[in-house]
Amino acid sequence: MEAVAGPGGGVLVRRRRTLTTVVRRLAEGTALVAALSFGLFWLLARMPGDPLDALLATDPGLTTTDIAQLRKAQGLDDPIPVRYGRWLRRLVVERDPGFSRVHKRPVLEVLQGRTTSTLKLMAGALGLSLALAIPIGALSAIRRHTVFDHGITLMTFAGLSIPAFWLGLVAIITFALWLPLFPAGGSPTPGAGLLEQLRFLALPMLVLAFETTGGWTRYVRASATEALGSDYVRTARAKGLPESTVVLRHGLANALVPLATVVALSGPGLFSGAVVTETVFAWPGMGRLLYDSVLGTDHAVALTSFLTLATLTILFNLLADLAHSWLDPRAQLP
Amino acid sequence: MRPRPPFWEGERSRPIGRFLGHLPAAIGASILGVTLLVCLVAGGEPPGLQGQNLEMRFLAPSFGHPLGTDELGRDVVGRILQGGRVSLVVGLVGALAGTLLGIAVGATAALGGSLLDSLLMRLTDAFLALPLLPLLIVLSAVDPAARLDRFLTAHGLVTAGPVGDSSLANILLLVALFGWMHTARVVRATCLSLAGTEFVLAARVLGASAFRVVTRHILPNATAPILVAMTLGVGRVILYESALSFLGLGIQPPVASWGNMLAGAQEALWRAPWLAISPGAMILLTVLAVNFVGDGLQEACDPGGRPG
Repeated sequence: MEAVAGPGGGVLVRRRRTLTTVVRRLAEGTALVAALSFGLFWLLARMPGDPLDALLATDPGLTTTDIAQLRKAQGLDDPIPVRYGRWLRRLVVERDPGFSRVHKRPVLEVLQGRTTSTLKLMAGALGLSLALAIPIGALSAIRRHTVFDHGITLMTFAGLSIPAFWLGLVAIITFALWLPLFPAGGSPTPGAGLLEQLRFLALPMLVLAFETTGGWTRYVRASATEALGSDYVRTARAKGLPESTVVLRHGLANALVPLATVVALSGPGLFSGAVVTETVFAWPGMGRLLYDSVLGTDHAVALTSFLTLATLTILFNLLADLAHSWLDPRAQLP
Repeated sequence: MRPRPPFWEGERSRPIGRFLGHLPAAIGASILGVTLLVCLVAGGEPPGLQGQNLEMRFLAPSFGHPLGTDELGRDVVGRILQGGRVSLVVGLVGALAGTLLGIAVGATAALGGSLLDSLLMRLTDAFLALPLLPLLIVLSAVDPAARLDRFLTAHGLVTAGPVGDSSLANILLLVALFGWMHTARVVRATCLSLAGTEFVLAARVLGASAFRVVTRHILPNATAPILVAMTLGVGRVILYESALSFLGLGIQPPVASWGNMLAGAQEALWRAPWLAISPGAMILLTVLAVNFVGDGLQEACDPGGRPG
């Protein structure tokens, strides 16, 4: 009986419940990824023009009979569920998601380093976004209904309304074309120093952070407003604590807890934004790879990179939920 | 010594008055109205490749061409108006379709028994947890509208329709397919909370069917949140459409859309940077206006909803 233990519960009860929830969420996530993988495999397999048609078009020495034989030998004539089963078995048993038609290399080799690149970009954007949203939101809450506050509200709306790719173009025009401070795109040469890496990361990071910063600022503002109007803040003031302690230790600290949920909800959006940002800035991450492979009909790579992105998103959501329940012991894991 | 709230946040009793008194919403509504009107009225002619003049490529903004000319020598103002038509139609129709789907899913979940309910709500959670744009990118590559059309034709559900350029249908299909979740939650919550009320009971006692109870008695009570979700949906759909078109997976040239105009501008970024400004500014302005209207609606319908 979970209800008897109550939301506070004992430490052990809580820990066990958290564990059960994590296991359940992981199982759900796995099921979702599996369903997605089958759905996409099926859709991609039914696309007109399989790899061998492309081969036929490029190699005049091949006849249709050769192709038919090759197709049979590679099992491309089998029903889609059979082919999916074979693909899945190779993925699970041999950790081999297939062969890239365009790159002429195993998909795993093509993927190498891409996930790290995307995570680097996302971590940078996330950090920047938090570093901007928390102080700006708090200041906005303290100075409610001033010009500063209205300006910030307008900015947050702009953050939610601006197309990320256009912001990227504007950033390139401003900071690469007019003021040549940063490179317009691309990635640092391997082994470059931290500063050089940051130079390449700066613009994509800024663009990716802009969207989330808007929403988060609004949220910090709302919850800080609520906290600052609460009884415990009045008590803290009445005790004669300095205003900075009241605002930072009593008001803001409590206002920040629910931010974890909002950060969690931004996960899918961040990964979506990463795709656009990486494409505009030619950042060699997962999103760019997905886009290139979809355009180049490189189905094995498209499937794998999409599933990687989906898995990362689901894990991100779970982690953020865990962070929330750790920060706020009253919260129930969903 | 609380600062005086700005005049647009003053007390007003009726929702309409509150909406009109909400300055950003009023501004947003007028911007939206003007954009819609101008694009629909003036954006009629000449579509696509007409009006190109290769001797006038990449002209800087001037009196004759206030926003310059593009890579085929077409006037950018004219292209913006045509593109606006596409973007606005996709935004409105796509959000409407998503809302209808959401109402259907939400009502089915609330009324269809606990098994169906938990199944549909899990599905909603799953859809919300997905990285939308990557999914849209993969799906738009498989040409879903043409497939659906073939499927329906093959099963005799529709007579063979012309499958020409299906990019518009693709976009609409995809944004509707992934734009129903918020509405579904709102509708489900309203249905569940009103299911036990006396007026619903009265309607059922009088012999009203489940469909009638939902459409005539429950949904009118959810009009406000549905309207807000749909308005915000319009902005979201416009952003997704423009992103997909920018990536070359949405509206295909020569038909103009703000997104694919930016794709063309990106290729000429070093030569004609001004081309990359106006279409994006139009997207920003429109989506901003939509979001202001949504915010105003929300506040008008639920004045206590926003703290501060």
